[in-house]
Amino acid sequence: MPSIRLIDVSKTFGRIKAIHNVSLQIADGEYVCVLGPTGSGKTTLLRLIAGLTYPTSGSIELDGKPVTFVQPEDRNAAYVPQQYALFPHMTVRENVAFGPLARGFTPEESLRTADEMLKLVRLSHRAASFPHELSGGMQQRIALARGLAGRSPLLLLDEPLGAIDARLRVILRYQLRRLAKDLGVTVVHVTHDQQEAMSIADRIAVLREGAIEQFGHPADIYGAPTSPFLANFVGGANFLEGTVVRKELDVTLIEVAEGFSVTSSGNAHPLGGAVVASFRQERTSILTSASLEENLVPGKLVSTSLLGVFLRCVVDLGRIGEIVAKVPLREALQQRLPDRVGDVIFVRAGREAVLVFSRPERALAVELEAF
Amino acid sequence: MPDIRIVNVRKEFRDVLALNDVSLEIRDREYVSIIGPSGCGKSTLLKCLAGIIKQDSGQIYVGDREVTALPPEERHLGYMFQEIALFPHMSAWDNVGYGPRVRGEAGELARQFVGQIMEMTRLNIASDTYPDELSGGAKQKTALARAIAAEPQLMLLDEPLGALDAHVRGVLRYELRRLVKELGLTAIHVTHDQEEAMSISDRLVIMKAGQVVEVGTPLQLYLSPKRLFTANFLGEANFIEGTVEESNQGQITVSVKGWKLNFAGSGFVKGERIVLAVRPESVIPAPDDQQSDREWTGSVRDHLLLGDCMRIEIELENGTEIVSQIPNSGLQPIKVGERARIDFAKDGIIPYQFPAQGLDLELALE
Repeated sequence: MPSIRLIDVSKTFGRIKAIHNVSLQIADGEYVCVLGPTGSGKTTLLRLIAGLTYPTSGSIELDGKPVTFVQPEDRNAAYVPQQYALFPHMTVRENVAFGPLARGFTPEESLRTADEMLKLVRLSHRAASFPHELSGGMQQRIALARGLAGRSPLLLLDEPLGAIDARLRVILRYQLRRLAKDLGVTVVHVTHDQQEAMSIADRIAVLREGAIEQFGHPADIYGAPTSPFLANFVGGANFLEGTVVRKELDVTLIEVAEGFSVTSSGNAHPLGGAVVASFRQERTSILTSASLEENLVPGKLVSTSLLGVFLRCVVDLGRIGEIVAKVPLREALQQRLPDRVGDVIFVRAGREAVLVFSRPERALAVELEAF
Repeated sequence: MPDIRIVNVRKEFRDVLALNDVSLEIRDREYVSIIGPSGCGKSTLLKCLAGIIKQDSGQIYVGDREVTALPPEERHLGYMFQEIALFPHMSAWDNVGYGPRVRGEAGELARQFVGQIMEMTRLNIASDTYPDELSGGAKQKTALARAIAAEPQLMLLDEPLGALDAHVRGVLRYELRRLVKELGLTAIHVTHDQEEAMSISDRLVIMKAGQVVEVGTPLQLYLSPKRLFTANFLGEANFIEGTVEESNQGQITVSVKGWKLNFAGSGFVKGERIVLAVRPESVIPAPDDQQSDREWTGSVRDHLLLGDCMRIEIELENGTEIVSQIPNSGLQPIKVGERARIDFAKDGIIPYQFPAQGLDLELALE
């Protein structure tokens, strides 16, 4: 079964560096998501692994063997591009059966596998239809089924759920993970949707401007992001620029506005250092009355909006700016927060929830890709 | 903007009934989202409102004025789609100023007006930039600013964020609502993304197969949907089938594969087939260290950290699979393979009569 190794891989198109010194090791049977914004090089990275384009420098190994310049068809990998091309003159069932047929399975075996895969992507009832009779989301699921049906041990998926309606996408992503695990295949799945990556991957490689920003388990990327960009892109957070004004054994005090400081545990940053204090929205709680706890600030509740599990609350903290708190819905309703818009409330984030980053070279707004 | 009334609007495309006598009222300055799976008729309805598609029958009123037969340009509305069509040879500023220029406005006043819109949409820094140098999000904002500059009273938004990265979508949707509210516009927003719709709308219209299934505020429809389809479409839910064993004095006892479940409710009779919708956040798991023989225990099948939430799939001993999704407290989760018991949050169980057409068809997303 295949493991994947990229060693110092770079790819340039003319003057554009699409991929820049990427090294990556993916274990056999692992489900890895490559996550990044549009233009970060995700698709190029996938095409390099598939052999559809060759690196400018560096090497690629599959299953311990060098394959850097090996033809795609000799890599034993199924690549499902974002621009899937279904055969217009074939039925859905025939399209899916083409995957295994092309890999040398008998027609009976191929059709049987096709039926299984169609069930999986919930399209059994459309087996006899032609692609043009189906919606874009359905067509994408057929392309996915065709990729899966070939039983390749390595699946390379480029935004496999991108064209599918949000609700169905959530259902399918859990099924896709379950299927990959049941089949024991290795998967590299490219997406720009961090929720999708978090809910499906064993490990996530976050790509930014052609380079890997962080590669790790979802829990590590979420719990210990290495830059404000990562904290923002994966999960979102509140960010306050400030200066370290006091340091003790295990506490750092950061002044984020005149006369107001945030306490963080840890002491990795020097006194006087320009930093960014960051805390997750769901680790930011709302209190309806004052208390003497640290990191507690009064503010005006600007708006509430329903996300589902959480109620999203925007709070205006005056000089500090606006921050967002995600409060578990039932708790928020007990506090009657939707009725308190305009009222003064208090927000709080525990010191252990406050991460501190060195101030990025670029302006924070650019780093966070606010636009 | 006066209220909008859609009365019995019907539209057939060859053999497909896209709108099956749809009636709907939208109030002045309301932000309403129409959501449903692809093919449910939501975009067709919006196009009928815009006057781009002519319905077969039915009427559309703006206040007392019937606009059914009016061409799009006489309906005073802004329309924004997923596919952005900015003028490539004009800067962002000139794109936004296009409407006022066509209306013959010029000089300092017109310049101020465009400047105001650029500021509101936070596009000032991109004023001199041409469309192909703008990010996807900035392009979509420019398109929105251009629509606003035409001073419509009603904004029709057809998947306005559909072409953008998930992260950008999640940020821009709040700006969209803010702008509509600041300008005092009425907005009708069509989307397939239920989280987007819930988070920014005053009311939601749920559609399925050319019909309106349910209308209500996001909280109403999320917490107590009248229809099973709504419960499924508006966020995840576990659907548990059972039989009513007892129903009196506001308490219902349901038997589920031999196990019992009690909850507050009424309107069901003994022996009736029932479906219980339970949102994943209403399923509260705990380690079952005592290896108790109580009901509603099982083993953890998979465990995922979704960031703000933890998701746990549990296979119960009676064969039911159940999903729990609770806020990520930072505590150690129950591990895969370990035993867990589950409790249901108070008011977390929403009971429904078993649908006549079967559960799968009722929940079908296409």
